[in-house]
Amino acid sequence: MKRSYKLGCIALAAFFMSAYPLVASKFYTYMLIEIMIFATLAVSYFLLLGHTGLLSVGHAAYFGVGVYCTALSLIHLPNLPVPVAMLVGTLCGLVAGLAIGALLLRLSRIYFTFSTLAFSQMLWAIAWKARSVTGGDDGLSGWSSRQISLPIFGSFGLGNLTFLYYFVAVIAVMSIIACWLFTRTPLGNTLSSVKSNMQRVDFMGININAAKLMVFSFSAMIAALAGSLFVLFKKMASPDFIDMFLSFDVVVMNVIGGYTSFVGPIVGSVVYVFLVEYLSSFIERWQLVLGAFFVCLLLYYPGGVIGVFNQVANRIVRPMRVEE
Amino acid sequence: MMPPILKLTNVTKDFGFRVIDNVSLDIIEGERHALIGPNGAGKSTLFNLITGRYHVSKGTIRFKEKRIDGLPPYKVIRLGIARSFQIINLFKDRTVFQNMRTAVVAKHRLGLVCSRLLGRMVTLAAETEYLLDRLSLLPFKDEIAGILDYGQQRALEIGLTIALDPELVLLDEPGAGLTPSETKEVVKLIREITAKKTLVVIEHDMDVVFDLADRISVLNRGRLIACETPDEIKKNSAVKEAYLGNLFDA
Amino acid sequence: MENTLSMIPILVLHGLVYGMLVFLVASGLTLVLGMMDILNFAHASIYMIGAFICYQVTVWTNNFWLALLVAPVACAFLGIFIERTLIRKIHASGHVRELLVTFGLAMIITELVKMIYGTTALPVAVPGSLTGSVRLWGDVRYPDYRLFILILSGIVLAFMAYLLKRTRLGVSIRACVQDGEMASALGTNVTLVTATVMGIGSWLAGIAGVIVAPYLSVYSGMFADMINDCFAVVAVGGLGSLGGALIAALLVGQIQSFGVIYLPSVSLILIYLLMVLVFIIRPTGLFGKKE
Repeated sequence: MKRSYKLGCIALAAFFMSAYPLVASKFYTYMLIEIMIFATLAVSYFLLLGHTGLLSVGHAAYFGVGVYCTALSLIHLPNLPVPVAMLVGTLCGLVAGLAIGALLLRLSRIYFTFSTLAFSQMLWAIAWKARSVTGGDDGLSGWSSRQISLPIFGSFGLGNLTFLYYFVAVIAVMSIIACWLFTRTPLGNTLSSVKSNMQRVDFMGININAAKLMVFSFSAMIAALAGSLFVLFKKMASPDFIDMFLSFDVVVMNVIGGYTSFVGPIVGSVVYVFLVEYLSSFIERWQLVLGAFFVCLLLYYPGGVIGVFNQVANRIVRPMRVEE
Repeated sequence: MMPPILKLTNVTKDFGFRVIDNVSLDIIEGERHALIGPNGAGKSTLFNLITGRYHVSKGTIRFKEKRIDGLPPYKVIRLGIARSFQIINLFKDRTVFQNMRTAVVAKHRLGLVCSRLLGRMVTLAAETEYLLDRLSLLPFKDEIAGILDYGQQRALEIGLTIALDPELVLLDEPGAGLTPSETKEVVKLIREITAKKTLVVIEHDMDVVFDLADRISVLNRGRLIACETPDEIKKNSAVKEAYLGNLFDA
Repeated sequence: MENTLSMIPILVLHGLVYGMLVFLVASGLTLVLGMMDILNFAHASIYMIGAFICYQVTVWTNNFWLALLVAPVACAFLGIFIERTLIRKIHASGHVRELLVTFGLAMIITELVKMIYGTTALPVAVPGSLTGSVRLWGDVRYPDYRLFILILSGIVLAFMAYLLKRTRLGVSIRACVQDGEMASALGTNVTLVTATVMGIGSWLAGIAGVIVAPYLSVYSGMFADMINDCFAVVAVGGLGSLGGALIAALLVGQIQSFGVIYLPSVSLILIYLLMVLVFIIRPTGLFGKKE
């Protein structure tokens, strides 16, 4: 796509998103906040799968670490400002990524993949079992009356949807931009090369395990950041936010949008949230439909929405180019 | 007498059966050393042992007097050794430019850097293009590497190895699958780019071997059966036997 | 103290029972994994399907033995069907898509089960002839049914061993696990062997599903619970190694059994600790092929 088109799209999206809560209903504002948080989560996953080729099926673990660590900070350290509690949650995600990554990344492909699920399940089990700390399947709550104080703008309650929208938007956009920049660094280039031919990178004198650990921890950190936002948004923490179905949904978001391009997970999260909203209103077992849709996409349209878009765009653009 | 840049001492490798048997070899700095032998003799295995892909079962390998056996490949490469592969081992779904740039970034030890390094990226790009130009691949820099024809892929394969600016270059059958004219080009290229370096090359094409090599080592069934100058090799009866004769008639 | 000591033999037996159950499911998984490099998440779903078919058959006919006959066969066909359709289609497109497809399939099956049967546990009665218990020694008694599980799995194990070691099919299977390309080059019909292994593996998973039904009841979370232990067994034992899977399964069984009694709060985590330990010492599992 030409540069000017891209910039135009981004400008339009920025304008749209800035004006949104001022014109949209509460319902749709709520939905867009959820989309932004999921988009951040989905993009963090893209760094692993689409960019580096690491197939993890336990990404919910880091989102969940962000959720629970932020929630626990909010509950047990009530004097801590909300943004600092978020920071705690995010850093816990980074640490979890480092710890689990250090152990798992040395494993060969298949071992790595199902170990990601195993360790995610372990964290879920802890969330489920450690009732005294995590509240078990009842989860945690109790910070909905908290306020976020910002230097210039003043204090806002978590119940203020418009404020929450802008707060989440700024953080989500910055996180996604950070991920984008990450892919454009020499490390990002190394990881793309690892995806293409891991052995050759090794034989160029680059420490691939170190590279993988760096992306894994960074991805975990961003996922945890999304989790900390989610905690402020939903005003609760529950084992649902760390279970394997969430890991599956993260993958679904990537696949729907097209898991090999950066924009894919962003598009995918939008489609995902709308799809779930639409399906759940008239099918009780909408997860079944989603799963079937997911498998069909993989079989027939692995490029996802972006893939289809590219195909269509080529068909339109090519005849135009020939005429020139 | 300078110490050898690469010293293999009693190197043995067992994979359940013995693949390399008590090989001792000194590579002199600055020489062009050919490694020949029948198929399955263990030549590529020797490269794998030197570069750390396999661990030796017995013996030691020293590079510039420092032991390197047991090190993982990326550490061996960082010490100044680079190898090319017999089966072309490029980043096939990336562009020629991206292939070469990865090597250049690796050479400058910037592979793990996570900042944008605005200024450096420009000089790195320039260096990448310079190298591609020397390989006559600059016109193709935005093509996907997998689309190039075989001779060009070969050139890029060797180019990626040289881009790391190693002191010791290990080329594994650089002429494999090339036409006679392409082979001549590759030999010319190898001469140029290994001018101030040490080269060990595995080859089957005897013309290439005699053209390039200062010394030739012959491997047969994991054993080193000769290590001599080209003229001496021609007269060596054990070598002739290993190759079932006829090889040196020309 | 006396009480807990006398419990030890019982706990060992419990561990054996559970370990053998996991082994039945994991054996199919590890063989297919070793042969085709496919991590089939849906394999544990087939185990669950076996349990639900058993439930349905007992609801209709009140005959457990019929269920034991029918369900595993149905599972075998299901396994082969999945392999033929989905996996065959996606195998060529690379590992990522293949893995995602089996993962998606497993999710779909779980949701399907929830949709049809809900999320509560459904009981299956222990067959009349096995409701008693056997006196082992002194005052110690052990339920007939659990001994039945042990004996049945022992028979199945012996059958598997015979199949693999003494029959031509077994040799082909082992050849394919070792080196599929070579086996194909030497004339083995790898596709046929693959389908057979999938069929047998699914059959075993079905058996496990049926015999676990009276033991742990039937519920939609069976997939999640089994997949953890299954993976642990395959990981610890080594990909493609049946012997390794057996040893790992017995180990996992004992850990679960003793863990629940002596360290209840961390029993779930013990399995992961085992995996961590094995990964640190031997990243390819106890008996796995080196890369």
